[in-house]
Amino acid sequence: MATNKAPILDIDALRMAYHARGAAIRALEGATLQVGEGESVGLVGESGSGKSTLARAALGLLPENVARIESGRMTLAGRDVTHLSPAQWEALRGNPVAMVFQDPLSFMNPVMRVGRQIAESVIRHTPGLAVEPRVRELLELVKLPASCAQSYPHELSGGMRQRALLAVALGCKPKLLVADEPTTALDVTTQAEILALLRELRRELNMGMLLISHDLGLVAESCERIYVMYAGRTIEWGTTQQVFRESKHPYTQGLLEAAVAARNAEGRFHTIGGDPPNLAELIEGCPFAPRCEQAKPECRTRMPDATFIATQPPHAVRCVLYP
Amino acid sequence: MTTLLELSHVSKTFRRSGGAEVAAVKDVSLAVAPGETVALVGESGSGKSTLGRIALGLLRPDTGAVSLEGRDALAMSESEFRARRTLMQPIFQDAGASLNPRRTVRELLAQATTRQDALEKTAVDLLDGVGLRPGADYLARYPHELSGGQRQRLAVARALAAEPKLLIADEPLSGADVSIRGQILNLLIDIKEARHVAILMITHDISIARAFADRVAVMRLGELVESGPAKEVLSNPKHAYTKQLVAAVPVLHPHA
Repeated sequence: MATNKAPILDIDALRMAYHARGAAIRALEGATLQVGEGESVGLVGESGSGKSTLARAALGLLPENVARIESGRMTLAGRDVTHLSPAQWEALRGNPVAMVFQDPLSFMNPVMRVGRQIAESVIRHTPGLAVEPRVRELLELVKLPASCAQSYPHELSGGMRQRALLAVALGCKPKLLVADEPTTALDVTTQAEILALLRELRRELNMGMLLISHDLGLVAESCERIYVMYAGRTIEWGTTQQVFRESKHPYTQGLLEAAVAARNAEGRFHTIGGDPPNLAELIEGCPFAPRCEQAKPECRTRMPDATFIATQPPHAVRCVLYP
Repeated sequence: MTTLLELSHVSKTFRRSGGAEVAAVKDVSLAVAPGETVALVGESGSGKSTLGRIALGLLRPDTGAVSLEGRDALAMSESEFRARRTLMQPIFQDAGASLNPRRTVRELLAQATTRQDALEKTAVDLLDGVGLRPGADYLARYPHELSGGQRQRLAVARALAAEPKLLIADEPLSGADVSIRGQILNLLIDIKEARHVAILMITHDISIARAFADRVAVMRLGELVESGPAKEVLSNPKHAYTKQLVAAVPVLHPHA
């Protein structure tokens, strides 16, 4: 058990590959993640680490024709959703799980007024409710003026659009909000406002949140627990304190040093040598081994299971340095 | 010490199709000395990229003066400007998109260098210099055969091929992952030290500006709101907007 609260989302050792043109991209090779009720969980990793793929898996949004789940298990609000059909997923999206993405414009209907779009989500998930007052209430919740209901998405600024999309998501009363780089396209001052809003909403609505980001500082400020991914594997997880201040995996340590953007005594920036692995190639052993300064010969042949450094609260790492 | 690039009281207004005017840059003055690293920071719409394009001679300001090594860049003839333009080389955010996909590394570097006599050796030296080693192994490759970090290195090598005195880098790190970012920054530091090249880095990343640049200029809505030594301005900002900007950056304290 990775959390004390009942998990809304529980992903265990998920393995998934994209198959196209005779090649397989092993996007997830043992991804583990839990989000408890009302809990905020961060998922960090670099591009190609599989963090967005994992988020899409949790929403049933993997492209059905090319994505194949090979093993592992995924439950959402207690229900096994590992192998649901698109139609079955359709019933779960919005409630219990809703999402916001990096670019709200591509997820909103450009020719429909914002109020209508929020109303649609309300009608769909709570039919019979007086729609107009609820739309006003949702706009108020995300701190948008009521007049925004009459606007089209392109008439709003980036930050307002993200708020509007959030209102659409909240209209479904989700138990879990998956936010994939929700502020990456925004300026830092707008980003700070959206993050504060998310924090407030989560507390008010007791909603779980899975926040996916490449920005470690952002995740550190917004989440209670953190999962670190590398090459499709969850390699370390625990409380924000454990992962960021007592990090164990050499990759997590390197990533944190690189993220601080400070220069060492020689005037150099911290960096991790080499490049992330190509997931189309078969990776034997630990995928980080070729870039790892502490790698041992066995790292090239074996990727260990998770070891728990602490159990109360749990802090796990997948690395031979911690047998 | 004469300045390398000097923008004085530069303004630029764009006209939208509806007739509305957008003052992108308003009365901005900024100078870069030889070998100096200057960061131009601001949020989107602050005018920092427009100013960068004016500096590169890609845009002509409505009013104000631009001088290159003390000479009026706006009054130069086309041919003189072309000759002088190699003094400054741009590096863009998306290195992949700025490299012709149908040219090999050898061809990409050959187009940019003035040393047509010792092409092969120059190309190999440039590649070695940006950490693509051994350089000879990369000559026959195409951009798509390189990783994102390697492409950004190639873009830097190509910029250096013209032997510039100033690199103007517009968000050179936004597309790069955290673990690669340090490699590119260290490369720019090496180049600056080895070749005494000045760097004007346009960025929205306050923490990088603070750690990387000698001086920083903060822009907001087309105006320069604060400038000075990077550490001083970004650690102890005076202007209300700079304060707000610095406070909004999420901070990581792994060893705190």
